[in-house]
Amino acid sequence: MAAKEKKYKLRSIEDYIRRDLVFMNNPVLVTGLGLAPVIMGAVTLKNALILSVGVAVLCTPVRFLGNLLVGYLPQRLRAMVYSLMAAGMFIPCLMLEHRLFGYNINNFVGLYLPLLAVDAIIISRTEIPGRETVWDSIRNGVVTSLGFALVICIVGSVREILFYGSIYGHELSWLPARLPIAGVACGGFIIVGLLAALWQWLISVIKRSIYRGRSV
Amino acid sequence: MPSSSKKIPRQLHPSFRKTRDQLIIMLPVCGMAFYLYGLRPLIMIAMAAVLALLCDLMVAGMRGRQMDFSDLSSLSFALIFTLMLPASCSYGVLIFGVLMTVLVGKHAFGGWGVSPFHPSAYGFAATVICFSDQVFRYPRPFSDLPLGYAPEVDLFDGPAATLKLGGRPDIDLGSLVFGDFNGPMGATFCLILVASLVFMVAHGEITWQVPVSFLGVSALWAFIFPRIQSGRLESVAYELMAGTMLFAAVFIAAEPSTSPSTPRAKLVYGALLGIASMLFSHYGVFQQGVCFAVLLISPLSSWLSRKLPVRQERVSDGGEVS
Repeated sequence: MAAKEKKYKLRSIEDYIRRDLVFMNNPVLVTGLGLAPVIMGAVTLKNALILSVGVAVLCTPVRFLGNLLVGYLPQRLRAMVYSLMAAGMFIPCLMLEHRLFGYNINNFVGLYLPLLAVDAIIISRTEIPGRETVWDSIRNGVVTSLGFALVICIVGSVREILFYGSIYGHELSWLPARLPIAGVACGGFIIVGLLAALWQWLISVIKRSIYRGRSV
Repeated sequence: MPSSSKKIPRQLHPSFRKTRDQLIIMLPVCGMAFYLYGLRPLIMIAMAAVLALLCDLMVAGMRGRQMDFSDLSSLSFALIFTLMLPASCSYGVLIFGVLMTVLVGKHAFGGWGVSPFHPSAYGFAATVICFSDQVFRYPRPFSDLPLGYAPEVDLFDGPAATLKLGGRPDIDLGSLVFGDFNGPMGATFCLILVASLVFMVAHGEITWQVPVSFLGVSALWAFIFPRIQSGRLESVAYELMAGTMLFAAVFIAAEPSTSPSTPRAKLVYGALLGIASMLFSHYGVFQQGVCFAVLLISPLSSWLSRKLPVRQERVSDGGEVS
């Protein structure tokens, strides 16, 4: 009985590692989805929040509806249909963004908000051939959005601190110097790359501690 | 019984011989920087060298390996980057540039021989983007530069800035050849750079195709599309000698680990580099574009080597080789 309990517990830990889309399988830093809005759009924390809300509003409904249509759509049409659904969802998304962040959000994120409708993080469901349960599709949409929001907010905060010396518009006067490269695309690539390396290291540390506990 | 005290000879890093020779060839260039600007360039060079070695140590520790002291490539890249800076550059900018060169330009891409572009070009491009006001303003030669963090001296635009504005730099040919003008501390003494190039080609450190095609195409472009009205030959002289073009031709463009491996590919690579450099210089945001051109064209080198392989010798029926 104890061996059975232990086996069940081990399987649930591995299930947890496999199903965790916020940290262990983060869509941006581990899977590499949604890099364009993170690198090009997330220059400040405000931009990051605007894009997070966009992904949150688009991802879950598209994933849920796409899951319902899996049996009826040939594989080659899925990306197009998902993009069309996301484009349709974009209208209420934009209205919500205007309510939350004002009517001049184009000055902040420009083209990268409407481009979310065709971004890989929204239409990545096309890669999965089979159908998932309704609860799984909603859950995966929500946690994917959370994982994206976590990373883009970290990147946006770091870049705003390094480039502008402020956080969400509030100046940090105690900072000794600024790094101009953080505000341009190549700096975004470097910061995301360093964050991805750090993330992978943290994941390996956690996995080692989990498996060390298992072998004891 | 075999002797247990017999030592196994240590394998040197594949880049050791080449980078050692390159460092020796850079000694006269460093000497000229000292002659023109005093002790400050030597302090900057020493600081860059120490920082490069510390970065190597740190990365070796992170990878769980022993530091290979025969890998002098970081030292070489840091030195090349430092010699492209003005002697009045602050130490903070130098440290930033060396970190970008070694940690990001070299190690983040896998180390020597794996990086798709020259790490010094990457470090210089990153430094230019961040600190262009410091990188493109130069002190006068033979001025007494203080050794402090950021010396407060009179700084002037280089001849490349004058060319960018369509003007003719007020420098005679002699000053241009002997480095008596405002410019990067290691890139102005053209006579030594040409001598270094000839020596490196004669010694087999680099092949002639990349630097010759690079400089040849750049000269042709400057001849056909001069930015100054006082003469096409003057335009060629200023375009090649006023900035970092000659320095890049000697130490960056022909780097064996980033340039193609076949002769025909090298010629095409050098030509593309020349065209890109001139386009960046003429139409780019910054007055010198050779490092950005290297970043753009270097990733094509392996593709060029595959498309332009070494010509196979054909043997006729009579046994004659054609």
